[in-house]
Amino acid sequence: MSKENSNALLEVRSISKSFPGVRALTDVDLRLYPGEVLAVLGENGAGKSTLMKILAGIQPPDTGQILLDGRPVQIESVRTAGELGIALIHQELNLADNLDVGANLFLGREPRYPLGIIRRAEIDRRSAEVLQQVGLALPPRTLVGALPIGKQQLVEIAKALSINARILIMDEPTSSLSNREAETLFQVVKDLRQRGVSIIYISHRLGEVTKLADRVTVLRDGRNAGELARHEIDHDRMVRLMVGRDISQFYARRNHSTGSAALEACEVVTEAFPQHRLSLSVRSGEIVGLAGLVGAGRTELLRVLFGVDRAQGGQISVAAQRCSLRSPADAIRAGIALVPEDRKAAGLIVQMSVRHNLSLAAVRRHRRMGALLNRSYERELASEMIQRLKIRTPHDGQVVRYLSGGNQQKVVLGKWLALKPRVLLLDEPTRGIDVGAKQEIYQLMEQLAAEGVAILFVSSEMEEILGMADRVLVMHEGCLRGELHRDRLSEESIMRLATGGQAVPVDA
Amino acid sequence: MKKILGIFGLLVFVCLFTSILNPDFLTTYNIQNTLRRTSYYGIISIGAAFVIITSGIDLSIGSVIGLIGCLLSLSLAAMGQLPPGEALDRTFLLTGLLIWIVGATWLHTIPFREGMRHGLMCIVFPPSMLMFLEHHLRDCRGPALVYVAGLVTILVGFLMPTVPLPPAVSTALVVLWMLEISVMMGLIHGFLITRVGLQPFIVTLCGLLVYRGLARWITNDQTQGFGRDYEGLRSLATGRPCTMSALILALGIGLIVWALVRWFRQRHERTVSVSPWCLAAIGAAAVTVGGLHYAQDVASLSRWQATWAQLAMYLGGGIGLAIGLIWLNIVALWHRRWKTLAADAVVAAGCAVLTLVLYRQQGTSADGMDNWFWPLTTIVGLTAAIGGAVYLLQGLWRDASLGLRSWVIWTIAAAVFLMTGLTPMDRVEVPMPLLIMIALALLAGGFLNYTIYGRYLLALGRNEEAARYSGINTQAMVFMAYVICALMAGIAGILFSLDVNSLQPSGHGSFYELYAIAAAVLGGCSLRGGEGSILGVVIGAAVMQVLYNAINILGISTQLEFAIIGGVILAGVVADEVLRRIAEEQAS
Repeated sequence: MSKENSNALLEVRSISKSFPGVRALTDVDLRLYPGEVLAVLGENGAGKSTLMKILAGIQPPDTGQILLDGRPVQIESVRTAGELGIALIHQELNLADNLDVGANLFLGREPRYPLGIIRRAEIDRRSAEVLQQVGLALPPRTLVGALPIGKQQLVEIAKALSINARILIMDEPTSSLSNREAETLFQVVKDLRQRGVSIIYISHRLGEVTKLADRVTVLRDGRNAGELARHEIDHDRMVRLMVGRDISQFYARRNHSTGSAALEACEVVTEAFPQHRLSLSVRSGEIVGLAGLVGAGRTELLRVLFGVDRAQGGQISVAAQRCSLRSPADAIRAGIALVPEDRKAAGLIVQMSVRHNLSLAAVRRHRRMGALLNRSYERELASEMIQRLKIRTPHDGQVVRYLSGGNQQKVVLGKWLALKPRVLLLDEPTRGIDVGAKQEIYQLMEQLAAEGVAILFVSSEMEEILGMADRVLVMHEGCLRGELHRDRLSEESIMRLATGGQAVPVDA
Repeated sequence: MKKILGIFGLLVFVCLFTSILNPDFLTTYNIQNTLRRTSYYGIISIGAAFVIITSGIDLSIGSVIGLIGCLLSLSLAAMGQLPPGEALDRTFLLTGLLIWIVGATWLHTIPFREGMRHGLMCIVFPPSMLMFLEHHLRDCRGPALVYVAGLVTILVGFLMPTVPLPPAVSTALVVLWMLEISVMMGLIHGFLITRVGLQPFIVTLCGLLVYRGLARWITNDQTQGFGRDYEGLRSLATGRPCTMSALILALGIGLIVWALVRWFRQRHERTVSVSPWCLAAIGAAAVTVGGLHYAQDVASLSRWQATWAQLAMYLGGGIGLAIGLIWLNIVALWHRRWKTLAADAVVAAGCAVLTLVLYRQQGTSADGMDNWFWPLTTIVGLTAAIGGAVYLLQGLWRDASLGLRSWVIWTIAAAVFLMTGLTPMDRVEVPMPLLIMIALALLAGGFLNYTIYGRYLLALGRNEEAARYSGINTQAMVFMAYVICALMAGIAGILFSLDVNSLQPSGHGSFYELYAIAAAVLGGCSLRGGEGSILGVVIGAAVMQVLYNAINILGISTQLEFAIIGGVILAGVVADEVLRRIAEEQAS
């Protein structure tokens, strides 16, 4: 390192933390210099969040020392962390939708007159100042719920700045942002760095880490796995450090023949964009990517294809059979499965066991005597899926909540594989899961395609689209702007369509 | 499982406590009475549990009870006035109406044209059915058939020639009407909640008001009753078909069979909550206790034989308790768990004192020691007790937490046997409602745990969105829960009215929904939904009734009744929450 230890703004010395049965962190060191962006990488369960929680005062460390400006400090609570100038921005935003921006910024520490009457004018004045710092030109009385998610994220950052944070910890800030919103965020991060704020940046998206980070620290299994300086940062090195092995073939795509059209949508109209008629077809054995910015109507299209929302018009057919999809049950009967975007809200019942989640969709098909559960089938299914998908769980009775994101996603996939679907719809299949599990899911997609399943997947990760798709459909504001074949795929061509640019002529 | 254990422990504790303070608690009459009340409340609590599992609520239970009671009394009286044979066609009319409503509601899910639901069209204008069939026959064969079947049944009711029926049959038909009416009320609730999208609280609150008003209106606020008529019907509530010993014997046999089935079925199961051995041991003990009492009952043993049989019972229970406790202490010592050890010493001392007190109160004489019956019964009782402990050992050896749970169950069971040893079981007759409740509870428990629909209910109670995404027809499930709840309330309403035999339309059944909800929550249901077991709910209802009984029997001012019951429920829920937090903290 070029800089001396004594210059470090924040230094973490051999911190360890155990939970019953798990050693989350073992002798982890971390240094953060003033005005730098430090990316902390690691697979899920590598200990990143535990470390960040310790820094933000949510959990105390078992052993080890934290030095701020070279002086040892005890971060006992979130309040202490705030006083020391450390702010954590969670992956899920912590804003009150029903309050306006100013009220959110000063929630819990409103300047007030005697008798607790709020000094609204002062809030507005000070809010405007911090909002300007993050490049948001908003009146402080705008309702937070009315803002797009990207701006909410900036409000969250403004909130951290308003307590004079010197160290900003951002946990996957771009996971729900569109590319354009993410760009704005990167600009804000760069501005903050200019002004001397240090940023710890956690992300699974290696592309943005390459763009932003001054330095990268990688954790693996709760230990330091290595550090990369600015000039050393590249995709392969980071992946190697994270998984501890070389991944030569991250996206396991092979060419195989595709069959007849498995899913056909003809002039389908969604509720959100009634002005557009959408037609698409996916052949069996084909992996089709659905690209576009967040809010382009991709999720809405999948919801219609799965019968969650009713199509306002048009026809959907599976294997040349026209079907009317009034509910997910109809879609499942037709052979369609959907891995939803938000697995905790719509994909899983997190309080139920792995086994019961895996069998939830299939128990009906395997019921006995009209209504009885077939428990031996459930057991067999669970052990088969745990083996096939390499779900890491102590046993099939484990409650799903306690699994990591990647394993949860595998449970969702397992639930559908039990039904042997013809068409698999995936909405952001690898959001918030670690590199190892990502790769396993890609392999599974490839394997299913080889078996003749038609796959249509939505992704906001450009790399994933480029790596996995045979063909890409691009959506823009509710409309299918164009179609790109594998040989014509590039980030630029997709982005041009996704941002509403001119369609590149598709070869006849 | 833990919750059930906790609530069962509370039940045993309250029983022991009350019986020590006032031995009258264990008199025949009192036991019968408490059991009967428990059964009524148990039935409505099971219904409430289904709704609570879907994270809904039903506030109309009490009013349904009141309305059904009044309707039953009025209909029976009206039946006496009618020419014989009117009952059948009315039954057809009512049944047809029910089927028709089901069909129309079902059709309602299918869009007729854009923005128009067909079910409503059918209700407003039945011939529109025909147009519909042309368009969507493939989509709606099932509901259309149901719809037509309903209309046909109504038609049959109109065209029906008068068929003379014996009075018993028409009485039975009147009971059927009541059940149909309660199902209809459930359907209305379900429709308003799932299809119209109103909140369960509001819908059932309106139900509470509407049904109460209707009950008062149709009866003109006159007190209703059955007098001395309808002996057969009233025996549903007042009958006493068998003695307690026979029931315990039957339950013991059932438990053993269940344990065997579980053992064969779940050998590979990783997550067994209780060792099947433990269940079998408790079953064996129950068979012994029940069987001995039963033999006593049937063979009418002499007084001394009876005394010894009882002594053996509670010696068996006591020894089981002692062995369980000793074993727990050995384990605790082995793992150096001093806190457990200390807590256990206190418990053991308490149990010893308790045993002595109970022994004293029983005041057994030592006559007839030389008779063969005494060694025999003692040996059987001891075998059951030691067997239980040995099987516990197995559970403990394989899986420590399983063994611990099994031990807790065994010790509680032993305490129960200790008490049953003290009760004159051969003289306690089982009230009919208890059998009805047991049958309903078995049905409900089987439904919840062994059918796909039960699984669906639990799933959607936790996460309705995910359940829907898994292809579950969540609306139909919610519908079903409200229908089950109303049906249970209807059944309980019939029994309540037959039991009370003098009902005030303005007050009969008031607040019962709150008892039902409280019992369900006490029994482990979470108002957030997705959690609950039928056994727990029934035990919860029993705790409330025993408390109520204890207040009366211990001479506490009945004015305090609500305060005490409320306080105990609050304490129970708080304890549950605290324990859950501790468990969660340890887990994370």
